[in-house]
Amino acid sequence: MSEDHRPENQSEKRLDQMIGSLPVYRAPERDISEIGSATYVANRRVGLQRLIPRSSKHRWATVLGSAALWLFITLVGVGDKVPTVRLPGKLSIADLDAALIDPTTTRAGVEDPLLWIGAGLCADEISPEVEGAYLCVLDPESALAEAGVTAGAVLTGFNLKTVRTEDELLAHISDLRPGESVQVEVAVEDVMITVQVVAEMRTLNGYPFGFEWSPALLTHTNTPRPGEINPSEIFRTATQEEYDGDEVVGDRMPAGLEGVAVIAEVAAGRWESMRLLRHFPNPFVPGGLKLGDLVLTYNHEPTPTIVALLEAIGSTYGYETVEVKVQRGPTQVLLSIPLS
Amino acid sequence: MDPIQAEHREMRPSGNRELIERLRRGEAEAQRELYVSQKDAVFSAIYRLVQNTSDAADLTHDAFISAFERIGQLEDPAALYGWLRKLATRRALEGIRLIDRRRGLLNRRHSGPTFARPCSLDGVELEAAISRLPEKLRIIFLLHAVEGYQHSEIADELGITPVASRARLGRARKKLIEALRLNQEHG
Repeated sequence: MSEDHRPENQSEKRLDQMIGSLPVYRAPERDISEIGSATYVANRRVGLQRLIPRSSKHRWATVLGSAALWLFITLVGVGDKVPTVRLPGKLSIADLDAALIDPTTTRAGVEDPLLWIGAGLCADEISPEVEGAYLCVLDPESALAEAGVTAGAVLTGFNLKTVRTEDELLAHISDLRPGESVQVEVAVEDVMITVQVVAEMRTLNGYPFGFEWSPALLTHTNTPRPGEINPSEIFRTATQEEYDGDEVVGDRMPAGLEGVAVIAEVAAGRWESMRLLRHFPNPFVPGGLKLGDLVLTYNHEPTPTIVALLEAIGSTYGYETVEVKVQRGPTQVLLSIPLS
Repeated sequence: MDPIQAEHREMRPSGNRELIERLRRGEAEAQRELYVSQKDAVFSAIYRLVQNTSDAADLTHDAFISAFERIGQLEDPAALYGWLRKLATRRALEGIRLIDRRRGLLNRRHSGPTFARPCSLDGVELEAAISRLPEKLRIIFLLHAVEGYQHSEIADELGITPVASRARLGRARKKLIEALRLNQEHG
């Protein structure tokens, strides 16, 4: 074996070791009370299990409705096709201006916001005249919809980059940082419109902290909302100087506070994975951590350095809640922070 | 060894034969027993392939129903969990084809399920790197490295040649090593 191949072989071995540590996920809770029952199996066989209310008086109505729908799909033949959506654009410049004046588009309680832009693109429906992709589906609560864009418009650019497919769009989005402003270009009835949106970071509901790697949501706004704190002002992305190999070296440790991790050192964008440089929604802001807090312990582990803090955080994957003790001014505060 | 596979090995009781007999008789209690003990493992395997929590949950359900209906075809009681896993994998591959057809209509949402138990940083990082692989490479990597398929079996499942399967696996591993920077770690 030559020396040249040694690192590669070691890498291969390391990869094989890592395979053994893949996580086991919890299957979402389902009602299994009917599993195995004759009703369940019979329903399942006709493919109606998920459509039939288990104990509803409308069960028969649902069955008949489903049968009618199946018949329609079979006869008309739309089941296997991608519907072509070419709705006329309804946006006027005046409408867009009006929408821009009131940028109150925060959507509370978003449960599944990862890479959420509220728009689905039809890659197959690219206009031959316009370089771009049709917006087939538009969530009414999306920034684009709230800016007045409707399904049927053509998305032509994202931050001056051409977009032809959903993958391209997602690739552009994944480069975003929270708080970053981007331009989304849309063609509506031959009129090119630019919508200004701001990437937001939000805590996810119902998902384990540490696994999500969504960078941002898009919120349509031109100005910061009053009273809203921009996450990028609380946490910052670690700079190159802070990297020492794969570890962050705290360079902002204030004099006289040696041995305490300062929360400003926890970078929003990259604080979790030094190797993949992924973004993670940060649960600490809603959890009560504040800029300037000094992290004394993380889940009862002393955190004298940033590296110790990151290691402590890394050891709590899958935990639902952690306790963080911080020094805030003259007092110590114990925060219980939900991670999922 | 995949932790789930290892778990299967530990959970393979001498009473498999009895459980299978009860399953063959269609006992609801036996079906529930299998479902409760294996749902997380089956869901995890399917989720990695389809990369969507909701679809994986549906396919997990389907896989179990399919297993209950076909339990009569299982000959070796010791192979119960492997057989169930293979059935689940097949359902996931069928599911991917269906999901592909509606791609472009739906907004893609990368939603992560919750962990069944705490896991290591390595596992989470590898999971994320796997999810970033192109679909063709991801499926072959998972089938071979995690599910233990031979290249000939992968070729049969996916309608490709074993040589293509081997080549894609090599590309997948290379991409993972690069993504995880393992080559720099040992450089």
